[in-house]
Amino acid sequence: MKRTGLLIILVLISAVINAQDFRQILRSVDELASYVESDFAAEYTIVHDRPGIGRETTVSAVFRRDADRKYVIILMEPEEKRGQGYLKQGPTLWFYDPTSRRFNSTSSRDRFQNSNARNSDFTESTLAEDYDVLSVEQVKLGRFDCRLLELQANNDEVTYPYMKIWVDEANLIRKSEDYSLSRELMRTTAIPEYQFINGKAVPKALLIVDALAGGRVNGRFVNERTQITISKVSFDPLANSVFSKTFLENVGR
Amino acid sequence: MYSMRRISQILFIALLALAGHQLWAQTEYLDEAALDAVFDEPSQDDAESVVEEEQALVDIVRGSRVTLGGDFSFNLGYTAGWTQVPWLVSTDTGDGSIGGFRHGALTDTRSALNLDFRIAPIFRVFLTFKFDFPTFRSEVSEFFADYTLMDSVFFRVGRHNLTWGISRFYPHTNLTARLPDAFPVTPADYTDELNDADSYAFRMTVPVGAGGVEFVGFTRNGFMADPSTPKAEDIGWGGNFNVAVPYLDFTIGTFYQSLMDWRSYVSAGTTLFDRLEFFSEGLTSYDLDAGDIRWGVNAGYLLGFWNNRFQFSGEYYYTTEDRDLRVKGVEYPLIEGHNIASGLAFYTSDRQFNAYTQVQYNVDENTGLVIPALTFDGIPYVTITAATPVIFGDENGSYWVNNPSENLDRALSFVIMAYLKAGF
Repeated sequence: MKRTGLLIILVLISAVINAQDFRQILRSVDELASYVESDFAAEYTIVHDRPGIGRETTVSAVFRRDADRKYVIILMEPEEKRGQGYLKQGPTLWFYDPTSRRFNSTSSRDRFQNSNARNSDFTESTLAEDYDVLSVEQVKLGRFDCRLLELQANNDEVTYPYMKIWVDEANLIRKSEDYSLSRELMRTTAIPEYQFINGKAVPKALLIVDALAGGRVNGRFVNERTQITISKVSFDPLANSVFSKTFLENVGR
Repeated sequence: MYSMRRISQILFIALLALAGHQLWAQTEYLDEAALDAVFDEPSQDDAESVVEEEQALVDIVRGSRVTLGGDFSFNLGYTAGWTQVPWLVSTDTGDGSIGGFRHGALTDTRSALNLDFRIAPIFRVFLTFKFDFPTFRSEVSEFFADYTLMDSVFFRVGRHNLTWGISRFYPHTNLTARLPDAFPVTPADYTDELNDADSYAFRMTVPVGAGGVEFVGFTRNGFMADPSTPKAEDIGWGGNFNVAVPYLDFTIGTFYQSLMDWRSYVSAGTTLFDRLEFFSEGLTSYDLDAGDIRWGVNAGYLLGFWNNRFQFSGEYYYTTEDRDLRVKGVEYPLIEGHNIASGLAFYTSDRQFNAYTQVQYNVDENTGLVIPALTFDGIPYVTITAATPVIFGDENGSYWVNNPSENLDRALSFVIMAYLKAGF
């Protein structure tokens, strides 16, 4: 009996240590994907491929202040959407339409400009805060040795209740799968390339494949895809007024 | 020795190659058959992808350049009843006959040119020039300058519109949009004073957090006895203070111009459960001559599902004001007493087909208006809209009375319109 009790205690201790290790992996991932010590600015080129319909390109300027959980996105292309913008502050996300000159609140979970990206994709990473690790295994992903982590959300504020993430040896996310509450695959994201600026890692390109949306081409179902290319990265300090409604009105019309 | 021509050819080819590479890079992974294949490709070592920081993007967004933009639309349709397409204001009948029952063609052609002169990140001038056929009316509809002082104080001066308030159904808190009773009301007529009521404003904004403080000096053509020499009393003054924090968007504001009542408002909005936008507003209107105070309150919501493909909206509005709200080219009937409005919109996943319905009803007068409408957006550059406005309730009610006189006995109208439109 004593041995069995000791075994159970050892298993429990091991589970707790493992849980701590797993959470540490998520913290490391968050640290690399968030820029708390400085502001962040970059140009995002988003090409949305809708099978049978064509490709749409959206170019936007993204400004982040992760320390305050704020971001601003200004649409620069296409021309008819130039000046539209988003301002996120904590859980609230406003959308500005320069035609009506009005601000609407919108949802972080919604698609960004009807592409396969979500508004929540532009914010800092909070995996360690929002998810618990269900399992970890060592896998090979192309040329990368990765740990595959299965995650479950611990709150209902997140966009996806379940996720799988592939984390390489440098603690960079290389791939993620997002699942619904019924564990249906919603979309897959691949990050094949990162760029390093001032020692900080920023994805160079992301490929998002929508598991549900798509169209028939030559009788075959083809999934919608979106490639996001990130360029013109800067970590220079931004003026406080950038994260204001006035700024959106000023760069719009 | 290379000739200049040879050098320019090489430069051209180099630029072409650079642009081609950039385009290829932006779609590099879209053509991969299997997603995991993107990890198989031999790639340069990520550690070598060290890049220099770029010029501040804020300056690129606001940077020096001149942008020419514009749009064109050709509208053609048929009406039996209304001479305007709901939600598309100022659609003229083409023959100058406005109001009244008619059946026949609706047509007009419009174009606009926008010039955005970004002289420096802190200074730009924006101009919009519009031309309309068959009225042959042309106008500079916007002409303003923006100036930013130390990224802290923002100025906008010139001919432009201001939009205050939250409500779409009853925008009574849009104080600078309001006009005195003296203005004639024939919204679709391009020749009347209402449509000449262009606004001019000096606006100074100081951001405070996401919100800020705004001061305005504001006037209109109709406010000035002689627009070429405006007097101090022609100008209205006001401002508002917006506090935008998580879960609360709160604004308090006031505006006074000598031809109108002194109005003040307060509005608050919040987003609940990441889906439900809820708002409420209150307004007081003080007639300084009569010493009379009137007021209005409203509360409403907007609820979106399925990536906002389904949208429900509703609003309650009570007012003791007996005046209409007239914005340039548009009139919103603000009927005294209890008002209810509701909207329902549905978009297909490809956003090509939209169906929507709007209902407005005044309880005190038992009068209402319902407008079901369909829009098809599936043909490049073409939108087709059909709507059937129906007036219901008491025949002495405001919605019946506001119906054009020749249309008094007809509760139902029909209008269909095709728009050929493009922007650049």
